[in-house]
Amino acid sequence: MWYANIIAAVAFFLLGIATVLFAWLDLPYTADFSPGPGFLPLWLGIGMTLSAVPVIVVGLRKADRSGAFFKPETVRSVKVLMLVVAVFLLLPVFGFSAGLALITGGGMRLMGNHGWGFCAAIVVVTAVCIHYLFGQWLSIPLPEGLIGW
Amino acid sequence: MDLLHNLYTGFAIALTWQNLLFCTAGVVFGQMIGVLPGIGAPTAIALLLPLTFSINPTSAIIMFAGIYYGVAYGGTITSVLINVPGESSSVMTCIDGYAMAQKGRAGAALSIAAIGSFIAGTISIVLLMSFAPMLARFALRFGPAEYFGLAVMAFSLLTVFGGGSPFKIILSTIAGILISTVGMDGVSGMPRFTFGIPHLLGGIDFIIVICGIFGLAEVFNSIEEPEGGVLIRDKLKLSDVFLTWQEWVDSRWAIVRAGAIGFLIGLVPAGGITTASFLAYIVEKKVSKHPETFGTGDIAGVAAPESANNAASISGFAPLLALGVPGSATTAVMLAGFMMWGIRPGPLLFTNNPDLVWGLIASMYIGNVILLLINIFLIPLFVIMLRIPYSIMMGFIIIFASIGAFSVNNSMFDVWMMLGFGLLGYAMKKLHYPVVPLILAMVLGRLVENSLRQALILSAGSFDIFYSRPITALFLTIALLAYCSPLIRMALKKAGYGKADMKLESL
Repeated sequence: MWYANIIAAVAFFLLGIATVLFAWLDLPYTADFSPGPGFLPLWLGIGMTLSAVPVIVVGLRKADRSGAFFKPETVRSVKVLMLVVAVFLLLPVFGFSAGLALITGGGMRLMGNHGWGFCAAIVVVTAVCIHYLFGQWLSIPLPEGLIGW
Repeated sequence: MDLLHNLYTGFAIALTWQNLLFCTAGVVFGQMIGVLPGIGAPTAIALLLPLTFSINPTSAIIMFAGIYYGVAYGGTITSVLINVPGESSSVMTCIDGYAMAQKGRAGAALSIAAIGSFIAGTISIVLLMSFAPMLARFALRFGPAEYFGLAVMAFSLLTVFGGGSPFKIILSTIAGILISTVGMDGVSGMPRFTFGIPHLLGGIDFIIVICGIFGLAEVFNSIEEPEGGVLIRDKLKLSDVFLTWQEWVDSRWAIVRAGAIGFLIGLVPAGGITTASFLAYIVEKKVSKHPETFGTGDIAGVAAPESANNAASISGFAPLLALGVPGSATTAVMLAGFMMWGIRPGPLLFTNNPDLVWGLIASMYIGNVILLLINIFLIPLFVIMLRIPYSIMMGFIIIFASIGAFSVNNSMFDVWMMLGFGLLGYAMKKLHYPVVPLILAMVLGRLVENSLRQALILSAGSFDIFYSRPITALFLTIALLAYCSPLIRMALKKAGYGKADMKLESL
């Protein structure tokens, strides 16, 4: 976790510098009697850079370097992330209602070890609910996929 | 008389069957959300927000308010029965609530929490009714400079009340304002940080950020670190919820004191319901004749934090309605809702939209009565919800977040962006960067920039305007002191004052 904290603080530091450079080079600092579009981003960039410094310094001086960002339990989050990414990529094929419903079944199977039948039933019920609740009742134009819904 | 007339009008609005239905749905849903660890009021409201495009704003805000104070009630159940707070505002309730449950007084703990929340909530509504219009009248004097000062003060107070590293809070705040600057500049029309992506020209909608950070990120974090606990099942008969006379005597003044504390903390931008419950518990322990009983199942230790968090959740509406400045993540999400419905909260809300304001205030009385009844008679039903596996719930959270993000512009780009913010929120929470300042700053970012630029146009480019106007100067002085507070505390400690264990690492 110590390492991840340093990386995050350095990322903020670099983001601050990038913001300063972008605001300085690409955006006007002043307009007529008022700050221009570059004024606030420039000062935000400076503030971010300066605020990241103590976090980096304190992190480097920290004696306790225990803990890790990627723990064995992180695999569970990664599995859910992969499921979400896969479903989002498949949305043009399945459509929003059926596609998003796969997340419930997939999640239950991956995280809860529920039976295939139960998971499939939940997917079907969820797809129907999404279609009628969001698509019909709330009139959100949910995109349809190659196989409809 | 005006007050009574306004309240009468408010009740006429709140008691229509639609609003009554939305109020009941809100408090019941809020109670359910409060029971479920891993999902909070901002998440619930953020996920429901995009679904309220076609609903009357008054009904929608009544429902959201119901969710907010319903959550404050519901968080108690898990604190008392499984020693896991359903919400951060119920952390203090675990201490004495769970101890009471172990002694076989779970029913009494839940009962005093409900009664305390009801009494303190009602006190807070009465005070809100009188105070919010006064605040709104006072805020009519505010110009752009005052609004800039107020927003900066709200950000700075997060470093006092937020807990954790002040520099991480500042970084999170700056990141939030920076996100709000993405898109076309409101004055010059010049694109900023769009990198040639046309989808970013209109800016990043806060609903996308909120759905990612509160919806998806919560799923990633909760699935990684599930909150466990042992459910105390066999102590929940209806007869157990009735208090003994001694229990009532021991807790009645704690409720009144906590109600006052909660009301005051809720008024402070960034005060929040969690701070209110912590403070109420500490004060109650200090004033108690038997402080040694706190932690062993003292009923005042349950009454105080629960009363305070409910009072604060209600008074938190005062800065939102009267000033247009949210004091917490939940009210920040609600401000996003107001903007989405085309309503601008602030001093003119009371004159331009009296139906909404007074309908909302009247609905709080009704919602509190419904919650009191639910919490006394229907607790076992909510306990059943504790058995729903998270593997089932998480799918529905992801679906709501995805459809919420999609519905903003009917664009898949927004859904992917929501996923990106979900990962950002996940990393921030793991690395102890608070997400509330980011959300608050993002929602207020445009106000800050526009107020700053308008103020400088008014002063012909002179920064004198920020210290020559007394209210602005006061706000900015408070902000400066708040930002310096960690250093002041360290200096005081070095000088031998104060007992706070302040170390360099805490920066």
